[in-house]
Amino acid sequence: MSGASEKAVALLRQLDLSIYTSADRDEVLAFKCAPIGHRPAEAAQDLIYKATDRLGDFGSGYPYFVLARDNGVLVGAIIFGLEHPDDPAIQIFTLGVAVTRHREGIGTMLKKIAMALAVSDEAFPNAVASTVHRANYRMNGLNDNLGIGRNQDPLDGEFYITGATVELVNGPEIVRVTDRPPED
Amino acid sequence: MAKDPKKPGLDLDSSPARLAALKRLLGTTVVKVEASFTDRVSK
Repeated sequence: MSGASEKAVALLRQLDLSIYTSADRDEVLAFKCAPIGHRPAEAAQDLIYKATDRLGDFGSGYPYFVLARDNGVLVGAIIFGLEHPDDPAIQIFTLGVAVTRHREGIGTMLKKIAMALAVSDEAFPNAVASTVHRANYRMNGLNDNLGIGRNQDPLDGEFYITGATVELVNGPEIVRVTDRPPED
Repeated sequence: MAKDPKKPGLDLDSSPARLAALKRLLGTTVVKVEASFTDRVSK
């Protein structure tokens, strides 16, 4: 195992993953993942806040809204799922990492978990997609490092469409959070 | 149609050009994720 992989496994074991519930609302609304003045990250942060009350607006059915904590402190959040039942890929609707924990691999880990779940969940296609503002250098870098492709959005040159087909190969253990919030 | 950053998703149902662009990506980009799963019920 390479040094990078060992670090990823150590990080994975360190994080406590759970599905968002209304009991998490205040903590999520206090969660800061956008550096001041970074508009693309602020948009991602606003979507996380919005999801606390309107998760049903995120795609068809209820998506995964996964929180990651380290020693009880919220350090990351990701929301992903199908936007429409027939879409060829799940979408990462938003992803945020606490500003105090950037550049530690937490966002990459959360996205890998989403991709692994896309493959393992029969309700999902084996592919992942997202839309990322071209100025969101960190997210574009994260996707580049994962090998996820991107093309300019044909309808809005300020954004990229990102995507990849995902294959799962045996590797480090991921704790699969199996519970989903009930539909209202 | 410009992307509204305040709205999640690509709105592929009403955007054939975006859907086509995504399908091109999916057809040319494969990412291998190393993982195995242990199930756990969320708190």
